[in-house]
Amino acid sequence: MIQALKRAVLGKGHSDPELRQQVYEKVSDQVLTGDITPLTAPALNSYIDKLSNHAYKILDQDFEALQSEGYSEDEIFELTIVGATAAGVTRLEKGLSILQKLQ
Amino acid sequence: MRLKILKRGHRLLQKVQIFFIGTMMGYTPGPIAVLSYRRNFFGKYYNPWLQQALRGAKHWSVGEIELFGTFVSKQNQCQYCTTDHHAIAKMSLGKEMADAILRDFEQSNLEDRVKVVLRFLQKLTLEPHAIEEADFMPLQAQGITNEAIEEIIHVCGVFCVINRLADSFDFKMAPDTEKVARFLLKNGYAMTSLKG
Repeated sequence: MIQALKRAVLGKGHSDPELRQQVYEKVSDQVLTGDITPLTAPALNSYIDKLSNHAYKILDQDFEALQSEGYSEDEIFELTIVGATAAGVTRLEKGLSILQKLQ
Repeated sequence: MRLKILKRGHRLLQKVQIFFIGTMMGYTPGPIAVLSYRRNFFGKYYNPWLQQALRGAKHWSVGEIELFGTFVSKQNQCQYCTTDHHAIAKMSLGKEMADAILRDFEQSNLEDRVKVVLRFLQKLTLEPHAIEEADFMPLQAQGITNEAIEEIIHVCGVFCVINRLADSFDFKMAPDTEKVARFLLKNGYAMTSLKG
């Protein structure tokens, strides 16, 4: 179930699959280490940092900044989904991996 | 909703279903809009996880699971999810218990078994990098089995996804939270990703 979800959000889409992989890894690394690895695109980097750490602070202006850098609505949809999925799935995987060691 | 595609981009059959849901609920719930749009990309795969985590638990009641989901949403400061799931928890467990997690739960009358879960969920939500084996010990000391711990980790996982989607896409609040809560308590989440 979880692997199918990861395959779907990192598979066929409208946005660059390599960029989606970078977003996934950035959020995942942040969950695992607390460190922030910057993405090369500044507007996207700022948006994904917010999504990962305090999504409640995201504003219309963040979307406008992405659109002004040429991201389409479908690309923003996908990159948001990927970042959010990484935040949830990485917490799940970390929690389950520690639990497995305790058994 | 910040993206037009999430308001107008659905397939015809989905639009018909969304129209009827809107008529019944007084609005289009954000999770339905997101999990239905291009559902092969996300909703088709996330929805079974959501349903399993929130309605498939064997070691916790539906009310307890909703309470934990409310708590994770509160940690993430997601007003949309906190409001809806708090209403469901309140219907299941009563006002006192549901309200306790919105304040300082440490000072509440919640039983110790619930408090250790909340401490664990707080850390997994806000400081996941710092989670370690020692954080599992208080749970086990309360007699919570590893299978039961696994179930609460899944709750944290699904809410850490949907909280972010709710805030980034800007889900509109339900005009009648009680109605939404009654519907979700009765029907669960299996219908959140519309086919079509």
